[in-house]
Parts: sequence; structure tokens; C-alpha cells
Amino acid sequence: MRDDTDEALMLRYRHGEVRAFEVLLTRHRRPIYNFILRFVLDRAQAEDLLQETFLRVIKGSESYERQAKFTTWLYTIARNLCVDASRRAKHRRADSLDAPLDAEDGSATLLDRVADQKGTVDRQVIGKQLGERIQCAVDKLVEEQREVFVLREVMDLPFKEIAVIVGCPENTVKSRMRYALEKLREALEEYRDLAQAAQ
Amino acid sequence: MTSDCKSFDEKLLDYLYEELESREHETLKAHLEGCERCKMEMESFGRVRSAAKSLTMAEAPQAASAKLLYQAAQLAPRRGVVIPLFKRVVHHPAYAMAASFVVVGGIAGWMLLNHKMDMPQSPIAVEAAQRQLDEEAAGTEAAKGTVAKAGAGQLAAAEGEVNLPVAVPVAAAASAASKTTVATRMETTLGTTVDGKSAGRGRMDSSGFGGKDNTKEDGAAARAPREVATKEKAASAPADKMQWHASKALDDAVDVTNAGVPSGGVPVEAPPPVVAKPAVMPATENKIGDLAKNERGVAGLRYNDQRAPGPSSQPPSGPIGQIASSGKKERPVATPPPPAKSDPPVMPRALSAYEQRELDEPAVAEGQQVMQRNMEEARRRDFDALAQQKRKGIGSKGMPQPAAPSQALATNPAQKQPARDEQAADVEVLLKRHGEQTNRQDCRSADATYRQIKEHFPERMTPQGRLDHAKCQRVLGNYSEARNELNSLLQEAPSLRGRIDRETKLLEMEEQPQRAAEAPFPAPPRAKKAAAKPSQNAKPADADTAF
Repeated sequence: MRDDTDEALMLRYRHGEVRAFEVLLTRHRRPIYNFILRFVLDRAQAEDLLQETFLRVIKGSESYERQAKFTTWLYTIARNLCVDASRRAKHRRADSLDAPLDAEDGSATLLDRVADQKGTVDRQVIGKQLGERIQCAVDKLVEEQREVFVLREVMDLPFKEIAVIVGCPENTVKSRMRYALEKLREALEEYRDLAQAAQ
Repeated sequence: MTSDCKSFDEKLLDYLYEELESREHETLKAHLEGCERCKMEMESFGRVRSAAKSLTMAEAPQAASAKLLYQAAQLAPRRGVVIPLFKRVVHHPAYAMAASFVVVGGIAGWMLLNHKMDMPQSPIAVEAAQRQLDEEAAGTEAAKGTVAKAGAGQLAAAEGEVNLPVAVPVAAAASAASKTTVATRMETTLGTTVDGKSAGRGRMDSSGFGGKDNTKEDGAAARAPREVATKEKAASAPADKMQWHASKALDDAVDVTNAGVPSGGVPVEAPPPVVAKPAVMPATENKIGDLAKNERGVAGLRYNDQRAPGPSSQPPSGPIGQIASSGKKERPVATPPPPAKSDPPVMPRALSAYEQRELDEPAVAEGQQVMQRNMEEARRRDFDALAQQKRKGIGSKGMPQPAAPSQALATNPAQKQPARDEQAADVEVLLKRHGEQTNRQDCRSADATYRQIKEHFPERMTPQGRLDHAKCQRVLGNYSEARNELNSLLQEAPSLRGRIDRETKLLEMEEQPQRAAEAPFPAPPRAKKAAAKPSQNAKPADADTAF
């Protein structure tokens, strides 16, 4: 069962096999959680949205048909939930307690979770500084560019699928991606040497 | 910046993320080797990608996974064959509507086939039936007057020795269906009977008394009119309704039970001819005896019930003989009249050869016997009331007082028990017959059958049977009894509330026109009384004077 495709597992769950859903959850909960976390920049909210995402998958299993890729459907659900949550957050003007308030305050809330445990101490220090920097730069990206960057760079989804998820043409996605890369390049200019060293 | 650089910029991301085909990839790679600007651009984006690799993925919370697995188990679609089969039906409105029609139609058809859903009677049909009953009642009133007049005249001519003709008009009324008015026919038959004494031996019609004959007729002289009456009855079933009114006009001395006359006027199958037997008809005899002023020279009925049986008295064989022999003092036994000239006032007699032959006749069908016995019981109960009413009057005239048959049965359990045992075997037949009579709306017969069952087997009466009885009472015009039955049934069988309410509405619908008709044009006292208590066969107060 673990070798089955996502679509096959979903069809199995549709016919009542709870075990198939467990496999799907194990396979996708981490990427989805990270996508949501980098979208909403709030751990508790990301956890709630993660549950809501898979809950919608459970409820929509009866109407699921093998027409689209399962990951596309799953990330579409997650992204829609994130967009809704982001809109509500804008209305409330609430800031995340976990996200760094300022790029210069040195807080590494997200970085603490994603710290690389490998490498030498120097590389760990460099990597930590570089990670903090790029994390802050990513957080400062426009929402549309950030989601495309995360989906492409972190989730490793092709541009075609990202276009389906975000609901816009593929060229638009590539354009947003290019803007995101240029902004990140500017933010990481001072860490150019460190980045080269990290390579 | 060359045109190749513009083309490279367009495909920079595809090249960076390796989404180009191999040929385009090689072309762009060759361009990068020769273009410094594009090479630097590519390296800068490569550094960003390298920095982005430090964005490692966080672990998802396990608590969320546990909750999701629980939800998935709770909300998982159930396996099965039925749900997928009907999924299309459930999700499509047209299919759902068609399926609902099929289901509702199926249930309704099943209920109709199993008689679980009675169609309400049409108000038009009820009104037509009421109109028909009113017309017949009017005809009955005319018949009453005519018969009373004729009876009085003939009785005066014959010095009041009219016993048997009381029954003959009943048979005559049965033939009234052959386009002859009841009054004319009655007059004719009555006159013939009184005038022709040789053939006019008082004889009860077999159709009215279950084939029991309590007359003094001797052999073939009286056999012919009986056969004629039987043929008339069998040939003219609808005339039995007229026969019923005619009998009421004659003070309910006789009744008709074996006729099938549906209220809607649909002719039904006439009951089989009944073989006449000597029977006990004390009430009729009592009545006739009351009418008789002089017994000499009259072929009438005699009572011997309160007289000690003489030496020549021999109990007949068969069931009647058994009853007579076991309780001669309580049970009156009809005897044929002795010769007119040497006729002692009242003497028990032996059965005639004709009666004896008929009693011993083994060819009588079993079904006919059961029917006759049941009808006799019903008639006997009806005549009990008349007997009790007449007892005082007859006693004052010095006439012997017969004990009521039902009283005799009631006071002698040993005598009653055999009859009960006999009928116990026939209770199923009675119940079935009651249902059949109700179905074909033969209300009078159903009423008699119901009373039999109620008297001897009250525990076998079902709410359905009682409801049918209430219907019959409504059709017969016994509204008070019908209402009482419905009220009691409403308390004892609430499950039939819907049908009871429907029947109550019909009853009220039929009662209202009657009230409206009675209010501006009050009926004469006799008709009022007859209409008030038709089921009791109560004798009108002026019945004696009419004869």
C-alpha cells in the first residue's frame, strides 16, 4: 500500500480503507504543514489549518474523482485555507507571536525549527546566519511571490502544477518566481560569500 | 544584449529548475558558455537557490495526525453494494423523483390489494342510497296501509281466523320485483289465502324462517305454495328488500334474512333454496294466536308449549326432537293443526308424515343446515321481544303463555350447551359468512349473523367485525345503534380510529338529511316508532287494531 500512488490511495480510502488515508497523511502532512507554516507564519494557526486541510480531504473523499493529481488538489485546499486565514488576519491586524517581528531583531523562531544539525560548527554558524537571513527575506516577500517560491523551492512542485494550485497562468507563476528570486538575491547580497561558502 | 540573451531570459527559470527538454537545455547551456552576462545572472540565482536549501522543513505535530486519523475513521465512507447502486438515484433529482413515485405507488397498490385502505364512500353515492331508502320507505308505508286494510277486511270476513297469511305476503313481496306493487300483491295473496282454505294452511315462508315450518299443513296440499314461494325468492333477490319492508308493515312478525340485496341495488346471488322443516316459531304463533278470535274451522297454528304433552305426543327425531324431548315444558314445539272439526283447543300432536320425512331426510346439505340453524337462532331472538310484549295481552285473554325460547335455553344450561357446541364448530363459518355478507352489503343478513356471533361467541367478535356491523346498522337506518357501536369501538380499538372517524362522518351525513326531512314533515306515530327502533322489530301499538 505504501508504494501506491496518491490517487490510488485516495480511491482506496473512498471505498472505506482507513489505512490508505493514514498512508496519505504520513506522506503529505510534513510538506503541507511547512507550506502552511511559511504561508501564515504562525505555528498554532498552521497546525489548525493542517487539520482543516486533511479534514476537507476526508469529507471530500466521496466526491473525489481521479481527474487531477492528488497533490494539486491537496495544495489547492491548503492554499485556499491559507488565503482565507491571511485575509482574516489582515482584518484583525494581528501579528504572529512566533514569527520574528523584525528582520534585525535577531529572533530565530522559525529558524530554530529548521536548523541544520549537520556540518561543522562553522558551517552551522554560517548556515544559521544564512538561514535566518533568507528566512527573513522570504517572509518579506509578497504573498503571491512567497507562495510560488515555497511551492517551487521547498515543495519542489513544477511550475505547471503550481499554476493550477494558485489558479493563474504558468507564465505568471514564472514571473512571480523571478521577482521572488531577484528580491531574495538582493537580500542575500551581503551574505554572498557565506552563501558561496555554504555551497 | 543579443537576441539569444532575450531568449535565455525567457527560459531562465526553466533552465534553472531543469524543466527544459534536453535539446533546449543543451542550446541554452552553450549560450551560457559564451555569454558572461547570462552566466552571472545564472550564478546569482543559483546562490539564492543554495541559500533556500537551508530552509529545511519542520516536523508536523503528531497530535494533529492523531486527530485526523480519528476523524478519518469516523467519517470514512462505508463499504457496501447498496449505496453505490443507489448513488445515482440519490444524487439526481429526476431519478429520486421517479424512485419516490415507484415507492409510493407500490405501497398504495399493496395496501389496496390487501384491503388495508378503504376508499371513502362518495357523497353522491350516499345521497343516492339515502334517496332510494326514502323511496322504499314511502312504498312501505303504502304497503302497510294496504295490508292493514286488507288484513282487517279479510279477518273480519273470516271471523278473525287469520294466522298463516301473515307469512304469505312475505313471499308475495318477494315476487314484487316482477313489476308488481307490494300492496297489490299482498292484497291478492292475502285474499287468496284466506279464501282458499284448502291451500291456505298457515305456513311460514321458508325464506323468512330458515325453512322452518310450524303450520298444520298436511302433505301436498300445502307443499305447492311453499315451492312457489321458494322459487319466487330465488328468482327475485332484489325483491327481498321489499320483502323486508313488507314484513315490517306486518308488525315485524316475520323477517327476511337470507336475501342478498345490496344497498346499491346490485343484484346478488340468491341463496340456495332452503328445505323446509318443522320448526318452533313461538313468537309468530303467539302473534297469530293473538289475532285469532276463533280457532274452529281455521287452519292456524297452535301452541302446545305450556301444555303437558299427551300420550300421543312423540318427539320428533333430529335436533329439534332432541331439544323438544329434553325440555318440552320450556321449549314450545310447533305442531300441525288438528282437524278442524274435532279440534281440541290445544293439544300436542305428533309430527306429520311430511315433517317426519323431512326431518329424516339425509339429503339436506350440511351448509343449509348450518344456515338454517343460525337463522333460526336469529329469528328466535327477534321474536323474544314480541313474545314478551304479547304475553300480557294474551294472558288477559286467557291464552296460554309460551316461554321464550331464549329464556328456556338460558334457564337450562344442559340444553343450551349442545346447541352451543354445535355452533362452536360453525363459528368460523359464521365469521366468514358475516364478512361475505358485509362485503356484498347484505346488511340485514350480516346483522343477523352478527347477533348470532355476539350472543354465543362474543369473544370472537373482532373490532373489524364490529365496525362492519356499525356500517350495516347505518345502512339499515339504525343510527343510534351504529353510533353506540362506533363510540364503544373508538374506546376499545383506537387503532381503527381513522376508519371509525370516517364511518362516523358518513353516519352524520346520513343522519342530517333524515333530521331535515323529519323536521318539516313529521312522520305519523307508527312510522316514527318503526323508524326509531327498526332493529328490535317492535310491534307498533296499533298493530292489533289494524288486523
